[in-house]
Amino acid sequence: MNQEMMTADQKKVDLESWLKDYGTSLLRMCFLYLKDLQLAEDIVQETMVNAYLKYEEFNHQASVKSWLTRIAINRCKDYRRSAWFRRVSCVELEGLGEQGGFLTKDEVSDQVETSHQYLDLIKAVFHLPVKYREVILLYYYQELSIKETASMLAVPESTVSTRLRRAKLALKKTLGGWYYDEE
Amino acid sequence: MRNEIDRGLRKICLSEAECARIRERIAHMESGVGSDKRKGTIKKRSRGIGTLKVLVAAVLLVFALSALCVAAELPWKFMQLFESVNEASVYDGIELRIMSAAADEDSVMIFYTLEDLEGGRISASTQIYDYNLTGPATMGTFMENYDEKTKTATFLFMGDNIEGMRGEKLTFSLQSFLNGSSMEMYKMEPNVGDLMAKRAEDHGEALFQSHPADRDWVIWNAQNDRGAVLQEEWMKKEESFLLQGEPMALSLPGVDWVTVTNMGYQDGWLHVRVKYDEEKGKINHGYLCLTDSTGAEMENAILNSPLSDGREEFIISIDDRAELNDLYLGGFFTNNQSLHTGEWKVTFEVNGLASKTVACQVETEDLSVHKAVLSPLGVTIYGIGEREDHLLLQMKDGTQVSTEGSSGSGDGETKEFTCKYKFAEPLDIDQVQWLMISGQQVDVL
Repeated sequence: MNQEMMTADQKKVDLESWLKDYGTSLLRMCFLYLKDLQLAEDIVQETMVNAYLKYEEFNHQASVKSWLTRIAINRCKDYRRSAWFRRVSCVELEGLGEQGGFLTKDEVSDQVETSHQYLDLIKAVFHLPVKYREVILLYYYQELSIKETASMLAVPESTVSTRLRRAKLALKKTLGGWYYDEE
Repeated sequence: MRNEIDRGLRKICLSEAECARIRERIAHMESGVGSDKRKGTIKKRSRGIGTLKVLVAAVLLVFALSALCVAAELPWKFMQLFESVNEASVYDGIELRIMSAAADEDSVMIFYTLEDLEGGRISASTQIYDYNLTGPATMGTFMENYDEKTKTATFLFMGDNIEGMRGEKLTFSLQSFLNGSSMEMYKMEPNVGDLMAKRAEDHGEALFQSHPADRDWVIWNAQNDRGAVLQEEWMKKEESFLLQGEPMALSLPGVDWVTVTNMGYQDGWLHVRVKYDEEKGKINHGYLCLTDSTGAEMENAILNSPLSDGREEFIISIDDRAELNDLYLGGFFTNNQSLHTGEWKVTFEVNGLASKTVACQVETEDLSVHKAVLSPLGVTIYGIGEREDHLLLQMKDGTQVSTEGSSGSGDGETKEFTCKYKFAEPLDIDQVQWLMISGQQVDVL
């Protein structure tokens, strides 16, 4: 088996691994960023395809997760900047429940209090200004470091720290009693 | 926090179907069909009509139209460049025929017809709904002509940002089309002030109720920039109110699927509740607005709250209630009556137009360009950085040509982009002396 065939086979194996290990978390991150499930699916598709195409360029200095997250978040930002997206900016959370996305009202009412809390958190994240939302998604949800988050957003690490602090304050205010701090 | 988010979003998972689509797209690219190796582009899938609310559908249309605006006057000027194709696909008695096509390195224009061989399902109001062509990242299609005698509609398709398309087989497919009227402005008489007076006379003054405790379930849709600002203000309110009850049943003249069910004014906001027909609401879209007496849309900031059961409440900023006497209820809506679905697919080849590759080294603070490709349809720039809106070309006879419109794709991470700048009419590329990119002259040898 020559090197080229090995690489091609490895790419396919890696793609399956990416889909299995990171696909859902990327989808959820993109959904929280863009508030649009189908757009989030498009972004994940594009992320995976781009990563596959750039497989040889990936130098493994960063983690695969960080690499995929970077591609996805940049794609989300591109979409948010587009005139098309600026005019969309809408989503009905209730309706998404029936599409396999969100919990429906009935489901919510059947849940214990903690389920409300999860939803409250998601709604609170949804309502954050995007600059706070993205740091929350990268730092807390994707569990990247301050340094990686700063690199991804092309801002100083101090800016990430400031935004995280303000984002947490905003969440605290929204979530009221149910809030916990984490570093 | 990650765990809590995952629990809340537990139903959102990357499905096997979506994984299959990703594998399929990669396999498609690796097979070389369409040579889809561009970066940073999204192959758009048709969105489920019923899953997203009306505004989203409207926005998608605007997106498609904006891509076509540049093209609206173009095709007939380029007719000499089209090659005959004449390949057809028939499904359910309706024939899709690819008549002719013109293509260069990375874009294609296709004339195709739809003819109902059995009945009258194709009309002057037919609109293509769900369609695709292998390869292009951006595409649009619209009707060019309708022949009453043969009941045949001719459409133009335009696709851009295809890499290495020359000599490749193209497959154009159509999955659904609509019949009815396209998006138009509809206006209601009398003015809003009089409508409100009539409402008060018939049903009393409008009552408002505090939005249910779960108001956070809804994210308000802002329909313009000012609306976006007001959206933020609205979100900061301690309490919000929506209209109570639905005592009215006003129809916008000409629109049979939108009914105004309540109106009221409170604290600088005009509230208008509408209800959409369950079935027609799935294939139509549009939005409510205020107009002046001539039917021209006013730029009031509008929020709308998607409610359950096909309802929305539009909330429009009106500083002074007296203004309502000079304003009219209107809206941009489609009025489609039916959605026809099927599987039409035609694979064909076009030779493509001659092109000229220009090696260049444009380096500015914001832009780096290393290649340009000229064709009679336009000039494609391959670069890194910030794209320009248009390019200037100097012809050998001393005249200058400016490009009109562009479409492109790019990689948000690396800032690499490919951008096709279109010509308003066919250009003899052998007569181009130089082109100006970001203030730097690039000679065409």
